Formats: sequence, C-alpha cells, structure tokens
Amino acid sequence: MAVVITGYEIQSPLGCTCEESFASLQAGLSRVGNIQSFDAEGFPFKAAGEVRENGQVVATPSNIDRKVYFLERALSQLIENTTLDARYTSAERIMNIGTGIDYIDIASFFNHREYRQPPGSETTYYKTAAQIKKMAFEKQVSGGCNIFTAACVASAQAIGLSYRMIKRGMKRAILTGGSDSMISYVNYMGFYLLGAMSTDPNPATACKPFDRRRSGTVLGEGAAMLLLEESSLAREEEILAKIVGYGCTMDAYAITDPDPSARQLAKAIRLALEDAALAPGLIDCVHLHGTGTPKNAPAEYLALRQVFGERVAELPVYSMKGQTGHLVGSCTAVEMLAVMHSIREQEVPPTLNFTESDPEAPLFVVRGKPLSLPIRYVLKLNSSFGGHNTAIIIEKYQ
Amino acid sequence: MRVIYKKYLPKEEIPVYDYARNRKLVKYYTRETMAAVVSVACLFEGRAPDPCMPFFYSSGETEMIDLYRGIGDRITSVEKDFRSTWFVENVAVLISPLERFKTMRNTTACLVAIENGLKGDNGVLLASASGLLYSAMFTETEGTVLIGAGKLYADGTVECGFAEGLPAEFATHPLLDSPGDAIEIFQPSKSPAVWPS
Repeated sequence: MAVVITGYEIQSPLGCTCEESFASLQAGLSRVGNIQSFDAEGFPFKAAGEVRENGQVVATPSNIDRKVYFLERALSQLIENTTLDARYTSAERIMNIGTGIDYIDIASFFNHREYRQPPGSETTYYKTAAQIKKMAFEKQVSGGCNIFTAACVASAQAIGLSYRMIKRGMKRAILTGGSDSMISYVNYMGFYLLGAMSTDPNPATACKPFDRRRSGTVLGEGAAMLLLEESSLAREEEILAKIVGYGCTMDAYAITDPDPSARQLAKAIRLALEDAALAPGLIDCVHLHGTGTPKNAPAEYLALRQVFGERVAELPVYSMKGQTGHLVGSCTAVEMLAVMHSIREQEVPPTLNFTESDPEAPLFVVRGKPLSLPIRYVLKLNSSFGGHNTAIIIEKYQ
Repeated sequence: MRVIYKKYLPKEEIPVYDYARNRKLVKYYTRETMAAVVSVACLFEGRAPDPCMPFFYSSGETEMIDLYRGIGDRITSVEKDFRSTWFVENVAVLISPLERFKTMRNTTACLVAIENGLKGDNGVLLASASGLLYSAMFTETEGTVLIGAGKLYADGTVECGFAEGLPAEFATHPLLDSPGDAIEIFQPSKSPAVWPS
C-alpha cells in the first residue's frame, strides 16, 4: 500500500493550468511584476507574483477574496479533471487545505462606511473558514474540511496530515493543497512592514534565493490542489507520484527568525527519511524553501549539511520563489509543480535570479539551464515565520 | 488524559505575568495567547513537558475589529471615492509590525511552543475540531500529545482549552468527525461526558 498523487491542478503566477504552468516553469519566465490587480499608487514597494492566465494578470473585483477565488478554481479543475466523482461518494471525500489570513475589502469599507459584520449579510470582512467550508459543501466534499494556517508551511501541514490519514488506513479521497493571496491593501502593506521584502526595486530580479546579494522576498499568490489516494484504490494510469515520507518540527526559538543552528529543520528531514525508510544518500535533489531572505539560506544549508554531510556540495537544490514570489500559505502546494516537473522530466530546474554563490550558504544551486539526472526521490522543504519546519519526500511512481 | 478549560470575560485581567517565563515576548501576546500560556502552565503544573511532545493547536477566527475601528475613525465625511494614496497616507500608519504578528494565525501556537520548549511534531489549524483530533491521532511520535484551541471574540472574551493525552484517547472523541469549532472539544457544556470537570 502506498499514498499516491492522482491529480494536480494549479492557479499560479506561472499559469492557470498544469500545462501552462509547466511551460512557464521550463521557460524560466519571471512572473513577478509591479502589482496590477489593484491600484498600488503610493506604495513604497510594488513587486508581486500575481496569478496569470495566458501571461495576463487575473483581475478580480475588490469584493472578491482572491485566495478563495483561486481555491475554488483549482478545486473545480481537480474535480473535473480526475475520476474522483465516479469512484468516491461525497462522504468519502475529505478536504485538507492550507491558507492564510483574512482579507479586508478596504475599498468597499471606505465607500460604504461599513465595518461591522451583520450576521448573514454581505460584509467587507471575509471570513476564510466559513467561505472554505461552504465551498467544500457545494463541491460535495462532506467527509470533513480541515484548514491549516501555520503561515508558510500551512499547505505542507495540510498535505502531511492527508498523507498520514491514508497511510494509517483511511479509505478516502483527500483533496489537499493550499491557497493564499496577501496581494491586497492591508495584507500587502502589513507584510511589507514586517521588513521581509526585498530592497531590489526591479520586480523581475527582486527575489534572489540563495544568492549572495539577496535582500528579502516578494509576495506571490495562488492555489494548488492535489488528489491523494491509497494506491490500491487508485487507477494506475492516473498516478503521478507517491508521497513516502513526512516530518515536521518546531524551532521554539523566535517568532521572527529561524533557529540559526537549523537543528530542528535537520530533524524534520531525518524524520521524513525515517518515515520513508530511506538513507540520506538516496535523495536525488532538494526543492528548498528558498525565500530570498538573508537568514533563510544559511539555515537551509546548515540543515542539509547536518543530514547529508559533505554530499551537500553536490546535491542539487532549487527554489521556485525567484520566478513566482513567496506564496506563503500555499507555497508548498504550488511548489509541488516543480517537484512533479523534476520527476517527470528527470531534471532540476535553474533557480531564477541566482548568480553569485554565498559563502555562508555554499549550496549546489542549479543556474542557467536545467540539470539532467536520474531522479527517483525528491525532498521538499519548507519553513515558516514562527519556526515550523516541514519535510516531504516524493517518489517517482514506477 | 489531563484537560484544562479557561474563559476570561471582556476586560478581565489574564494573569500572564504570573506564568510567562519569557516576559519580553509578552508584547506579542493577544488575549488568546495570554490565555493559552496561562492554561498550558496550569495544565503542566510546573512540570517541564518533553520537548519532543507533539503539539497541535487550533485558533479561532482572528478578530481585527480594532484595526477596523481605527480605519473607520480615519474616514471623514469629506472623503469621497477610495484612493490608494489615501490608504497609504491614512491607514498604513495604523498597521504596526507588532500588530501584524498578532494577526498571524500561528502566533499563539508558536509562542506557546517557545514558552514550553516544544520542538516536536506540530500543526496549526483554523477552527476545525476534526482536524485537530485527527492530527493528534495520526502523529508518528510515541507518547502523549498536547492539543489546544483558543477563541477570541470581538468584545474581548477569550476561551481556551488544552488536553494532554495519548493518540488513542483522541480517537474516541465524539467530535472526531464533527464540522464544529475546535474550542468545543474543551467546553465542558459541549463535551461533558468526555472531560472531567
């Protein structure tokens, strides 16, 4: 028995279908530009990776919470493009989702002078949980709806619980992944004020994962949904990959910074390897969190060094965030696109905007063009504000 | 199984300084975090929890009423159509980094983990009773698990509950497949048969 991925759908800066997103990923297109989905005049920094369809930013009216909108689209695609309907009843479907903080429609609030929340009426303050649970009900997912909110690892924890549920014998179809958008007035400005944004004024080069000149991250947005099943219940021709290990730890160090010793991040990797019953030497490449912030890269390097030893110098690593920005509550789910790509194409993509190696984080970052190599096991790492660490191991189905 | 449930009414003082070990972090605390730190300290009664103990926490919806009120106060009768520059000049100044940390949904869980040195398996959820119980049931770590939930209301009322138990003990909870709010797991009125008073 194995836990298999039998469906994947995406709404991201790279595109609104898998094929469009794979093509943008492979072409190495930067999908970070100045904010277009709302008027950001006067903002001190405007770079963002907004969801694009055929290269154009998807526009929505201000009364739409974009993270709920993109989740609905990804979920509908997943139901439409898989054989889920034919094989599982509504009660046999569970949704585990990672997401972010609430959306405030500041423009409507201003124009209507309304900031209370009359029960049951249209409001300017969008309750995330209520909207997602309503969506699950409308999409006939009645086996449970669990929402994870640990910032940048929210969707990793959602995928992790989904994996454990099936591994421990729940005969269910689990729709898992995440959706987030902080590209709105209050949330974008709030994140900017945390001081984690890049200082590079050029949006296309602003996020430079692992690069010596990195100065911070850039916000992105998007959603991705995976269908997880037990292998004996899945149709073999629909299997995309297997999830074979998951580990999760907490730094318990600081609310703002990662533990510089990276001990708990290394432990998350070891737990995932133990769960998968794999030796570290079997991991072929690592898709890192790679935010472009100064403190992230040394912590990830140290964690890999503790687990892989000298091999860290030749273990290829990758981050998608130079291309899309940081999708926060949905980053793991959306970055699974690149994991699928590595497994499908047997290559590690280049990390966009990486040109100069950092002596404090001398990782083997693929640059310029993809690195071809036989890939069976991919390690996916993510960490978050507050100190959560997750490691997921994905195996090529063969 | 050890369980604790606390409720503080609006304006009721939460004795966080009697319990918090890292006092300099109290500036990051919401009332929900204060209640959670006090509750966990009472649950462990001076005992240091195992650093590897898994910890799963479910927060209630974050109430941003204070920010809303602040924004409302900035809108004058002479203002007409919303403009980005108005936002930058009038509202951005209301959003402090400190307040931003408080609105992040994992802040309470992180601060409880820091306060108690909890470094094990973990998860942060929004409202979901079912997800919280399943997370505890399916953890891969041996030994007891700590679960908790908090809910902050717009008027300042805060509820908080924690339980330390074995995964198998959570598997029989009547709210396991419930769409209900996680705080209900700990409310004596909602789960009287499960939790000792």
